[in-house]
Amino acid sequence: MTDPLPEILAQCLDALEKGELTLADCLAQHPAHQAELAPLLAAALRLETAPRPRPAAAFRRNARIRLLNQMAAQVKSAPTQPPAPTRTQTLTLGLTRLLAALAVICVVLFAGGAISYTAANALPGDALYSAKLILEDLKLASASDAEDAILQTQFASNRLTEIQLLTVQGRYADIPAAVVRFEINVEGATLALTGVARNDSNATYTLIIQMQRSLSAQAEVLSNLLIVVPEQTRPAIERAILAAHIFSLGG
Amino acid sequence: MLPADLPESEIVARAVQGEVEAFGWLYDKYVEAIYVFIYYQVSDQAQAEDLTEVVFLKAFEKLPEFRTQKVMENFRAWVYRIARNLVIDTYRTQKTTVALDPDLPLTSEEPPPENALQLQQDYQQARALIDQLEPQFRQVMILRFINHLSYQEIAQAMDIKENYVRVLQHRALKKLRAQMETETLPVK
Repeated sequence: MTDPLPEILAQCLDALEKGELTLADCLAQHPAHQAELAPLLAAALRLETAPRPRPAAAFRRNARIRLLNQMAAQVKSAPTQPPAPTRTQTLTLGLTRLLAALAVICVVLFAGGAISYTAANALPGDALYSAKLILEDLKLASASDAEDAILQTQFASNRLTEIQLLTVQGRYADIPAAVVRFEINVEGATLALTGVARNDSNATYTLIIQMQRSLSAQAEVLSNLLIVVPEQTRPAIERAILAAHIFSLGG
Repeated sequence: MLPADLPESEIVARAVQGEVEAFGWLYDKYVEAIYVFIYYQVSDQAQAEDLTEVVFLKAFEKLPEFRTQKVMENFRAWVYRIARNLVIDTYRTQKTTVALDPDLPLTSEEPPPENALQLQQDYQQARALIDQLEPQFRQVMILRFINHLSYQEIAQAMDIKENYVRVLQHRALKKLRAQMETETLPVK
């Protein structure tokens, strides 16, 4: 015969969790199993009260950036994407990127700023565009929540400028990649604002106003682009406008 | 940015279609819980962070599989299953037990709570108890009482029958109780 205790125990735990019964009620309902049930319920309640460690905010933020960057890269690239790196791999990758970024910085320093100018003005699809994104990620890695929100808004503005330039140059195929990055930056700014809001509501208000103004102005420019881009590019532009509008309206 | 009243199933569907924002929403919702689940098993903050990130990378890679599954599980149970398998693989590879992390990690950008010392002690006691259980018992205890998954979700996450979850819960609590008595740990 099957032992009924696992089922009785589960029923009692469910009822306790939902607040439908007290511990005494549960025991009273099962007098034949009281002696066995009581210590088990006590052990369960002991675990229920165990603390829940929280991941560091910096980890949450940086992992999110890495993850969404990975996704954005996949959206941009061909269907066959190499496996996503683990963070251990990413650490190596990060070191490589750091060295690459440092190399870029060194070259920039020694080349009289010519390459710096080129990287800063690189567009999706350009060889130096990844260097531009790496430099942005490096800035974010050491930023506080407030700095993060400001930087992400600046980067979002950069993306919108890139979309405008790509449109002017007729490079419509590269626009979706910029839109995805734009959404990541707006999301990142929103997340960072949540962190700021926990500590300083006044600072949050000021930041939100600044970000709303910036994104609202950019959204207006993008709206004008809708009439000049080809039909297949419009959905991507509309997504960017929607993201900017939702935020500028207090989303 | 997503509409506030959008059901999770719709957000999952959007993530499956490659919508970055939708996946970001799912990450924000589950990252903390997955971290807790992993942390209670590996005992090391850096390793728990690494594995948590890998869980979401794997989830992202496997999203197309989630869509094609005949029986649509809930996303939460599905992500926990990825986390569980990853922890098992990690243990299998390392074949060692990691020492207990002496400190309960608090977020680096938040001040420590006033009762930090008490939290620390509670955490260490809970960890010490759970750590002595066999892996399957340990997982059921964490999923049920720390992460508050339903029996159905635990069954999906552990790839076992729902009835068996209840049996495991019973056995694990018996063992836990026995440990508590021998170690005279406080019972609340």
